[in-house]
Amino acid sequence: MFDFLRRKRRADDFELPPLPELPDFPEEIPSLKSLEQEASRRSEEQDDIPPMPPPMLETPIAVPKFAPKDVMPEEPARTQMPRQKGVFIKVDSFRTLIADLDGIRADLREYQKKIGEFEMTRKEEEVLFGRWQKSVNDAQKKIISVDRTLFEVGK
Amino acid sequence: MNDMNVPVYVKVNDYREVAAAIDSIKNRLSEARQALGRLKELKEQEDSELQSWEATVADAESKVDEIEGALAQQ
Repeated sequence: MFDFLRRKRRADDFELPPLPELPDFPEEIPSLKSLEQEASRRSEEQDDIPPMPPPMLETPIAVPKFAPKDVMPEEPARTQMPRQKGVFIKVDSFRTLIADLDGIRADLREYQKKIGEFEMTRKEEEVLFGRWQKSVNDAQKKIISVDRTLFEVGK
Repeated sequence: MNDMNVPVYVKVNDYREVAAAIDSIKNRLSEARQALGRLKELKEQEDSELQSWEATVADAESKVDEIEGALAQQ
C-alpha cells in the first residue's frame, strides 16, 4: 500500500551526466564584409555549373483531355429584380409629385365633366339627326307625290 | 451646418406598385389621346358634310320656292 508514494524521489537523488567539452572558437569574430565576400564567391562558383541538358523525349506524350460528362444546364438569366420595398424621395420632389397628381386628378375630373356634356350633346345630335332624317324622307315622299300628281295632270 | 440645407427624404412604400400605376395611367392617357384624335377627324368630316347638306337644303328650298311661285301664277 502507498507504493506510489515511495516512487517519488527527490531531485537530489539524480546524478547529472558530465558536460561535453566546448569546441574551439576563433578568437576574432569574422566581420560582416568578409561574410558577404564569401557568399558572393560561393554564388559565382554556382554560376559555373553547366546548364542542364534538354529532356530526352523522342515523341511528346499525349496528355488525355478530360471533359465533364454531366454538364449542368445553364440557368436563364434572372430578369426579375429583387423586390424593393420602398424608395426615398426628396421632400421637394415629393411635393411636386403630389401637386402633379392633384393636377392630373383635377384634369381628369374636368374631362369626365366634359365627356358628360359631350354625351348629352351627342344624344341631342342623335335626336336632331333622326328628326332631320325624317324630314328628308318626308320631303322625298312629298316630292314623289307631287311628281306623280303633276304627271297625272299632264296626262 | 444650416439645418435648412439638409436634404429631407420621404419613404415611398411599394414603389413598384406606384410605378406600375403611373405606367398604366400613361397608357390610358395615350389611348385617350388617340381616341380624341380620331373623334376630331370624325368631327371635321361631320362639319364638312353638314356644310354640304346645308347648301343642298338651301338649293332645294330655292327650287321649292320656284315651283311654288310657278304654281301661284296659274
